[in-house]
Amino acid sequence: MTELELWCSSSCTEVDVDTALERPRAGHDGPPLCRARALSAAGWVWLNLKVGAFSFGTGSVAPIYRRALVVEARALSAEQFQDTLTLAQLLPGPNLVSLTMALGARLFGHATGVAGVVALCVPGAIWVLLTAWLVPMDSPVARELVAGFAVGAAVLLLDLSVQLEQGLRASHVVGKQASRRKRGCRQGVVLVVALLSVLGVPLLGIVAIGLLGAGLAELAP
Amino acid sequence: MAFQIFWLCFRTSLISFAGVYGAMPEYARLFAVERSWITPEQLVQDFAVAQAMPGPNMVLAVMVGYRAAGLGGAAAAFAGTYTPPLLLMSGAVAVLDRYRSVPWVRRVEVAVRPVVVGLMLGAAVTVLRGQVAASGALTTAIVVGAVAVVYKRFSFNPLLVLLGAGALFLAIGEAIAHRSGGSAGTPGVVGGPHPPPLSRHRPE
Repeated sequence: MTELELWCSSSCTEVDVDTALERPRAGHDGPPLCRARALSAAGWVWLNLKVGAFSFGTGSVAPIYRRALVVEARALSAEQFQDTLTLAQLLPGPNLVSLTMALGARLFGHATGVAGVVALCVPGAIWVLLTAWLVPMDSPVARELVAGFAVGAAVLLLDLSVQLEQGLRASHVVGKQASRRKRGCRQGVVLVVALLSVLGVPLLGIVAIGLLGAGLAELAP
Repeated sequence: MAFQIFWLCFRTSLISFAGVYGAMPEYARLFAVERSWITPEQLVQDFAVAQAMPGPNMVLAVMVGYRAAGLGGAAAAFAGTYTPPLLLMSGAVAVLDRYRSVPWVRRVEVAVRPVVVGLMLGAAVTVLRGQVAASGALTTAIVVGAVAVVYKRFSFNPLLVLLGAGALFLAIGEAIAHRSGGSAGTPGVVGGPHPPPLSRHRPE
């Protein structure tokens, strides 16, 4: 459950660290701290294959990308990386896949972008299919074990959403906090969206109502 | 049917704001309630398995597709789920440099947060509700409490927490089964009615 890091990194804290890292390069005078190691298109696809096979969640993957692209290959500035990350989170769809596509397409072209996404997604799909095929999911033992898994995952998810709720304090001005009333409005939107989702309202309706409510909440003083 | 799975996954992926958490209740509605291609219990199972897998956890769609229509369904779900971000982002990248660092981007990002948190909350409640229906409130409540305490108090690795929760659930189920003198497969202890045999597709 590392989406929290991702959430935080999108607000402000980690930007400063990265800007600091980038400073030698941005100044144009003086040698960079370490030599840039060029990343080829094939290297990008290979990186994604490794990430797809061994990493969990967007939050744990974003730092890997940042290290590879910003620190090691110096293919993107920290700011450019941050913008791409924000964009991937902003647009609907699976965030990690969006991020991978955006970075790949931006650096190596669309074909490599698609290849990177396929490399990222195939290992997990193979794992899942093997599980579905090999594990007798209807057996009592497997059912109870997986039921426990599901409950555990739900609790971690509850914890994550409680933590992310802290992000509702943020104002659109970096470093400033939103007013109490605005935060209350945002919490109202959270509850309405959650309720609609539990009641089985179609996702399109939830998203439409949620975005409308979120927009109205921002009007609060 | 494969095309239908592709389309359902495509449109869900296109509008899912909190990734798999926004998509999960939608899958429940589309695949379990409206079409009964899978049972709600299977969906919760698949959700748990997908959470424990490496890579993007939208892989849940692949498992749902496989259960609904075998390997063809899995391929259709894979394509349907991952095509929208490809299209969206390749379009966005083209205009990204022109609009990057525009102040309203941050503004929109902050504004969208309540929707994302709400969808996550909704997914968590959906899973718990399904589990209460399948395994009874008592077992679920005990495991919820144990996980919450262990995770918050000792900050274990999430994957270990999941495994522990699975083991605990199994142990409680076995204990209840022994006390009531039934086997571990007694309905009401392990879960509701077993899914029909056909529901678990093996590739022919």
